[in-house]
Amino acid sequence: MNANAPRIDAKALIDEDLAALQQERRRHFVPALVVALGALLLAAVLSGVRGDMFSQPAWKVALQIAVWVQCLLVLPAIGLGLIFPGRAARVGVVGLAAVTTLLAGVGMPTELPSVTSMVTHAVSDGFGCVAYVFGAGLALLALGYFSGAFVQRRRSQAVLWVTAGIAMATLDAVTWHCPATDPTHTISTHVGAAVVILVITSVLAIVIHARR
Amino acid sequence: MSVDAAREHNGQGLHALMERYVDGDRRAFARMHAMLAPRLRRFLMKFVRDEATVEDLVQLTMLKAHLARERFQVQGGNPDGAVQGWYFAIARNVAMDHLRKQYRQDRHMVRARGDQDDASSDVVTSLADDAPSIEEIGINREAELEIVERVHEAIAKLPMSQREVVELHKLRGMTMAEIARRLKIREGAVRVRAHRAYKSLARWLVPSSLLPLLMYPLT
Repeated sequence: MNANAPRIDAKALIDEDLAALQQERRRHFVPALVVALGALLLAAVLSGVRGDMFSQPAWKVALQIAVWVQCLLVLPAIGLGLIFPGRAARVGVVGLAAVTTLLAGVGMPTELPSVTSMVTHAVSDGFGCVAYVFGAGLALLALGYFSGAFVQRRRSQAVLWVTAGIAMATLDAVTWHCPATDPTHTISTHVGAAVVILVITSVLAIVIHARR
Repeated sequence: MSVDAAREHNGQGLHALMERYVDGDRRAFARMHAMLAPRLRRFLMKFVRDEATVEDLVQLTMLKAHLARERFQVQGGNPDGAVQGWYFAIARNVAMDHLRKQYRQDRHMVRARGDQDDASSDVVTSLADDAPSIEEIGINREAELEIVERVHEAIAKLPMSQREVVELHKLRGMTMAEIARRLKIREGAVRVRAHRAYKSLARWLVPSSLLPLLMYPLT
């Protein structure tokens, strides 16, 4: 036996403890995920899914599914401390999330509408979709609060991963509900409302984190 | 950009690693351990000249830091330095405790040897020969005493009905049947109280992977 070998291997013990912590977090994450999925499914059933769901271009449907995976699994996993990607990977995840979400929700319009027309439309005709996004966003925020999602990590910036996931989920949910493809509508009400939800949930989540 | 600044920028500085370690990142802890352990060894060698003892003290320092990691706060303008300073402060306390214990045991043995009316006993020789046993007792005993104290404090927080079951079971070594007869309740009720008590203790004390360290006698 090596005379210099430590009698306690602190590194191994600590690593085992951290692994147990990860397992504990996963055990808490799964039920919250199930509840979130259930809530989104219930909203889809009650409000209805767009009639042309599978008439959309295949690439768009694939992107929408990819957005679900990102917003329900990848982003919360980072925000909750289930996985710890390096800086480059985190930048990649953010970029991919932004691009896929916008493409899945808005598509590739040939012409962007003016800001004035979008604001007018949102105020006059967009209440339904805006309310849908807000309702879904605040429900998911409440789920995050009661599941302790915003107090898992030390730094407050970590909550932004969860709130980004919430905003993406609301955008994907309204995209699967509303068949409109006119960018005046999708950008102003779907994307616009999702951005507002992102800001609101982020501010609230940071406050919740600070008060823990 | 200096090497340290570059590391901080890339999230590899001690402070960045510490933040992720506190969040639960095992790889960050492994990297931090690789950076800190050699520095701690060199630091502790100034207090204790024996390599085996230094290694034990490094392990103890790491464990104490792990248990207290949530309380770490950056103070001053050098976050990386703050992390190292925090670990060094813990290491210094660990070393001081070890040296105090060693001094007390050395003094006790000197007095004990001095009281013997045996002309053949050589106090200096026996002192030098006993150095390994002081380390063997000192390092582990220090950790044991701290853990025992924490366990006793946690037991004191239990409800009365659960506390008496734990005390009879663990401290007096009685079986569940004997406890049931003593408390004049059913054995099933004793088991339920014991289960709840140990669950609470596990929640309050060190997490499950460190529980083996608790399996020292509580008396």
